[in-house]
Amino acid sequence: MTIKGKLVLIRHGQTTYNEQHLMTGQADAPLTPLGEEQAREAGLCLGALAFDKVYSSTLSRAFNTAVLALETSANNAHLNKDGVWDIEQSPVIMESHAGDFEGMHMDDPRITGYLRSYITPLPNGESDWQVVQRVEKFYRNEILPRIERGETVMVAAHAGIVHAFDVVMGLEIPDPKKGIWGSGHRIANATPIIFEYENGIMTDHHQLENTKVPAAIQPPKSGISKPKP
Amino acid sequence: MTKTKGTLVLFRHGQTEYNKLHYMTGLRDIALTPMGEDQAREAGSRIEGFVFDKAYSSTLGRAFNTAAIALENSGSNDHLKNPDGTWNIEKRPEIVEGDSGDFTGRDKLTDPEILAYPRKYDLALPNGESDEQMVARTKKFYDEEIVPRLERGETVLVSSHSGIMIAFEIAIGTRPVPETDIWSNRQGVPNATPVVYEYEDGKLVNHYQVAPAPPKPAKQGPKV
Repeated sequence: MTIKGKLVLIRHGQTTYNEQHLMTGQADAPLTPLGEEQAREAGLCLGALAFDKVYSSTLSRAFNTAVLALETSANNAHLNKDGVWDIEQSPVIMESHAGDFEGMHMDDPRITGYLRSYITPLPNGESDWQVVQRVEKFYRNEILPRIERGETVMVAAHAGIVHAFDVVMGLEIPDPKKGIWGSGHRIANATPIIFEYENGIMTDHHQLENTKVPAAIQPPKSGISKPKP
Repeated sequence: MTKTKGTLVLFRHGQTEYNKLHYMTGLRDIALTPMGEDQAREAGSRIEGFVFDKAYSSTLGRAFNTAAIALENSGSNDHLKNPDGTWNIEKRPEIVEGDSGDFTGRDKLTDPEILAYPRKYDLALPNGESDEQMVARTKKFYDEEIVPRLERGETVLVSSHSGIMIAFEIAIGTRPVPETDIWSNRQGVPNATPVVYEYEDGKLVNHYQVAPAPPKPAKQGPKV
């Protein structure tokens, strides 16, 4: 018998920091009105998907994106108890800690000139490797057991966390020299990515299209496990 | 009285992207490359004629899919297919690859922290597992799950990982417990290459790696 599970990953909608191209890290930058609109649109994109469990990071941009998406989605009223959405907030999937670079413009020479590697942390911040390690723990302890039971799970988080998920799931190969941010692959705001599983093994994935987000970028196609023979 | 003959066939999964890059994989579920899938098909043709009573794989996709592709291509195991076309391969957590902990996803040939880390049989990798732990869980699986089947005369397939292949050898007794670690002084375990262990009345009598099947005679083209 085949047990089918589904994981939906979504990065938060646009924030004030995104709008100004500032490095955010774990600063709690709020969604802009456009970011809220993107999150509502993401809910419409979800179609008939009904979640058994929803997680978000403890940062408000991720939690509010999940709330707004659930509100406009068709089949998730069961997660709303007396007006409150049942979303488990976890610090393990907070954005990677940007350390001294937090709040700096992305083009700041201190950022662009910083010699990154997969295992080198940002000054007083985290390394890509550390983020992947914590996301891997979360994936293995929280997500996979649910997927193996056939649940449909949503995780609302951050660009760095979606990258880390991609690494953990083998869709993105970390380059020792460039790390996961150097892959050139951008994670679009509020654009759900659906991962399909059969008996706990990923068989397919695809990204939905959010019309409120310019140029939603498809995840890399390499390393995808194909449907079983 | 005739002897009860049991057969155990082991192979490691086919090539993955991490194998290509010599990254440590551990418990990360990295998929097969197209070449890895070809290797799995080749493994299937090498075990053509083996009729398995039971197939196991680790819970990781690369091991399960290698087994599924190999069984499909063996041509002699359709009785292990589920009604929905999937394969009845029992996934077992005891035979997942050794947990490479903090070193997962890093290049084992160049990463300075990996190169500097002392290797001992009973020393766990940082936040990971020791060879000893991995061998212990593999041995328990072998003793409790595999040996009784072999004693009953069954033919059993196990699709797993390089670390587990070596752990099986230690559990079976064809390799001594190493002094340093299991990776020292040896060549890597080849991808998707079946090794056959033959038993009589529960005792190992023979073991060999299965050579590639001889090339099939070229098909004659249609006459014009």
